[in-house]
Amino acid sequence: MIELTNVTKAYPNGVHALNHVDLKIEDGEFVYVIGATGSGKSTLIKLLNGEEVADEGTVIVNGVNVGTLKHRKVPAYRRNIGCIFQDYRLLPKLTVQENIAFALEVIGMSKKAIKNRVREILDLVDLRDKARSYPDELSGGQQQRVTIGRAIANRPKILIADEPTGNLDPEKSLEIIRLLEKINHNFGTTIVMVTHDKELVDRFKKRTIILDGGYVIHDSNIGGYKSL
Amino acid sequence: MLLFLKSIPRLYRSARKDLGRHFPMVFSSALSIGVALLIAMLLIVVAANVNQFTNSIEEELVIQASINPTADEQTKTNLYHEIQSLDYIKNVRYSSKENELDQLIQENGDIFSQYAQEGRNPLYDIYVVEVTDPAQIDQVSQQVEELDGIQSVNYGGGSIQKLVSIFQGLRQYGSLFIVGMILLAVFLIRNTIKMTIHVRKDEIAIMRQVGAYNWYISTPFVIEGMMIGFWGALIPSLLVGIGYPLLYQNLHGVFISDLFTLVTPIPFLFWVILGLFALGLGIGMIGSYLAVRKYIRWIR
Repeated sequence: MIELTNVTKAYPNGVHALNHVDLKIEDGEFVYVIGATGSGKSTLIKLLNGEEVADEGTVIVNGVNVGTLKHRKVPAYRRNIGCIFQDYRLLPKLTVQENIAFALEVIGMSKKAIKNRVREILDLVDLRDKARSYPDELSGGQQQRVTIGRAIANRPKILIADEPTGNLDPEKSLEIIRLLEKINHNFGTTIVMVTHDKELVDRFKKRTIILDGGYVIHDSNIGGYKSL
Repeated sequence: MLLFLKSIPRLYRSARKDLGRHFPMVFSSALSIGVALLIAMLLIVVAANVNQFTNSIEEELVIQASINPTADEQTKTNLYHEIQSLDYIKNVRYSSKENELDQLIQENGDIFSQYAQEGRNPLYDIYVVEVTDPAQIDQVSQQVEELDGIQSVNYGGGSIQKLVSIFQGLRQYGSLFIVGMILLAVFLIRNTIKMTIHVRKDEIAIMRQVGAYNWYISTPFVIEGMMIGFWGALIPSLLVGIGYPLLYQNLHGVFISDLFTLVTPIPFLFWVILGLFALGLGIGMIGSYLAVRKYIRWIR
């Protein structure tokens, strides 16, 4: 579960990114976070994955108070949070399967276990035939699926997606959202998806949180831009 | 700890891959370590041999105390006892001037025979004094010289001391130079590793994102630094390992005269090469550690 209580975050340049935000996301939920540039979406993500610490209030994720987490405990905490980004962030010199395996090597998983897990992931993201391809040989949608594969490889409880469809055409965006739904449904992974994509938000109706100027101005389970 | 041990092969592979990525920088760092260690190696080899030379010379060192020609037998006997009662005296032997002349003729040829006639011998009767500690020879010879009935003393100390002081100078300035070169090598390695870290910054960011511990991220860079140090040590080690035995063989183990025997290659070379590798690895480790500490600081 994710629980933000009265969270405020300001940067040294004086920008108040988040102001007194209260938010509760239950396990297994699929939530959109939408808002204009500078509305505080990125700061919210950074607070959730432990990159930033709130100035005021508490951020509790899976029972862990992220703000008081010691530095050396952050890596272990991050293993429960998968992240995907608009720009994919794949390692260009590694193949698809190596990119996915990378996340598992880092946490010291055995070679055999990695091999099995990578195969499962490749099936899940439907890229088995591209296992030995390099990122620049793939389409944008395929690259994003590799990123998703890497993010969920060590079975995180939460998946944060920062504009995952931002660089994709509508058809590919659809593929990605269906994959995220599948992960949410099959594994009970909580998904927090930051997006600008109105069409997707309208078509796949989920709980929608709108940020504006660092405030939560809308939080509804009805979903969709049109309902706002 | 278990995770660390399990990860070593992976971390090593990662370091090795990096070495190939920016070979020119790695090569120049390894070369600078190589040069520093080469000079260190030469100095060590020269130092060990000069030490051996001075030791062997010192072992042969005796004080020749010339007795005043006016001294009678009683004075000579008294002198003998007085010299024997001094500190650090191993042995005192009397040698008449006739005996000394015979030796001179024997060593340097018949040309000195002209002095053999009665009344023409210019030499003195002497006491040959051996000391227990060669380092004290200067002090002992001064004490002997002050004794009544002693005309002069001679132990060839001047030339030995000159040799020792030349060597000490060489060692001092050489050591300073080596320290400078080592610092330069550390700096070059630090910069090489800094560049590697920069090249891999995306990878490091992803590692952090997926929950890699800081040691997992930084260890390959330290291994890389140590590998550069290892390559640097290889050059002087090969040179000394092949060159010194060849030199030893060609000179038949001596330098100029039998007095200057060279240090036998084994186990001497074993220790020199071991030292070179330890120094190379040490430089690599310190250089890369400095880079890692600065550029892979723990940030959230």
